Amino acid sequence: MALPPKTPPKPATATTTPPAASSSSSSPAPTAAVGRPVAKVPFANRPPLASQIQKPTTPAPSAPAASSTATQLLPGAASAKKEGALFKKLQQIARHEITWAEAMDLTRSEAFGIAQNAYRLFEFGQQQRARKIIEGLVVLNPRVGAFHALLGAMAGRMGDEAAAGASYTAAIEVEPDNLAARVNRAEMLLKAGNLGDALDDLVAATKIDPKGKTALGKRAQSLARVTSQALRELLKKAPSSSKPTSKPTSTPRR
Amino acid sequence: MSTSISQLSTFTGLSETELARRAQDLVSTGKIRGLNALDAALVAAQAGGAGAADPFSAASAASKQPHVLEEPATSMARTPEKGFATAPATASLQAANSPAVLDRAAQTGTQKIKGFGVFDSIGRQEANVQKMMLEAQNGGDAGSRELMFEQIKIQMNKISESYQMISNVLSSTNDEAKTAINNLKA
Repeated sequence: MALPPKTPPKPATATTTPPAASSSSSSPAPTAAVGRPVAKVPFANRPPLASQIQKPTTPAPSAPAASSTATQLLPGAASAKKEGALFKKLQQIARHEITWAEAMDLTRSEAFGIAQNAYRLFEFGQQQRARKIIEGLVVLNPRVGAFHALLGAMAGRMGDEAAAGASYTAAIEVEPDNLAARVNRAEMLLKAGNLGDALDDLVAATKIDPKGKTALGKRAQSLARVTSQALRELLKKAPSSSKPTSKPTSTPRR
Repeated sequence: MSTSISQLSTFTGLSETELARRAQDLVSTGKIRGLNALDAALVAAQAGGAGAADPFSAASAASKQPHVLEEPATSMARTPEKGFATAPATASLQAANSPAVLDRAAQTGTQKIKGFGVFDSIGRQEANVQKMMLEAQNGGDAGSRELMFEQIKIQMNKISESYQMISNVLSSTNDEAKTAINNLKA
């Protein structure tokens, strides 16, 4: 299994390069948000912007859903005032001054309300739809570890382990105390045989919920204990020269 | 083979020999510090009155669903408002993340995404983003503007897809509710 490096590139955020962006750059013909092919013309050499507004091209048939959504949203011509306000917000996003959520005036409750719907949808088997919704929420506010962790768990359940690992790492970067991301990534790393990195996540998870109050905390502790015991026993059997130099004051019991 | 070694071996799919080799690697690479830290954390947890951990067995671990999904209603409680619009004060967080409140909030949020207007029309969308890039990245080179332009479009596309999905879900939920009410009335 291919796991992301311990300190991978920054997650998909408004302030950094999203993973999809790098993959798109390798594609021969990048596609616009609504499926319109983008000509690889240097920015300065592009035709005047006004001509593009007056002559919208026909959307490519490969992305009918996205283009139909685009035309459904805010039907009719927007007023110049509104256009100006929108333009200002887009500039702020480009300068990384605000997130998309702030630009859209989306509150935390509203975003989590949408996430809760996606969670229910996933549990009822609508996995692809649910994942798409959470992907959007991650773009809307990339500073929320819970969204990254949820996206990772969805990807993992759908068999996309690489995406799951990347999302857990993104979650931990923005929220080091995200228990779900820590436990899920520790399990992934253990199953991949990466004991060293798994130990780091298990240590963090054990510290986040030391009393095992949550199901995730209990899961972390049971995994931590069996890993610790097994490794100690394995090292005991090994030649004395390779034994660890320091030991804890007492050995944790199961 | 001891119980814990056998359990870890089954869980990881590695033989005892391979596990032993990797344990040795921890020592040689200095990552054994992680094991010491883990033991210290477990000791501290026990001293702090940790509850009973789930009894571990490789079989039960394998039967459990990996990739645990944390319910957003739970994770919301510890998520700061950073990066979101300021919300009006609520009586308590418990009220704020109750299912009914979250359902209503989802409806409002979806309407806000719809009303933002960045997806207004294909032509205007691209023109706006290009204009924005030219002004925001005035000093930058054409290559970096081009890359940023592509990134913004990808982000807009993801939000647009997300909006479409949640919008479909909410409208079908509304339809179901209306049908249920009509059935009750009948």
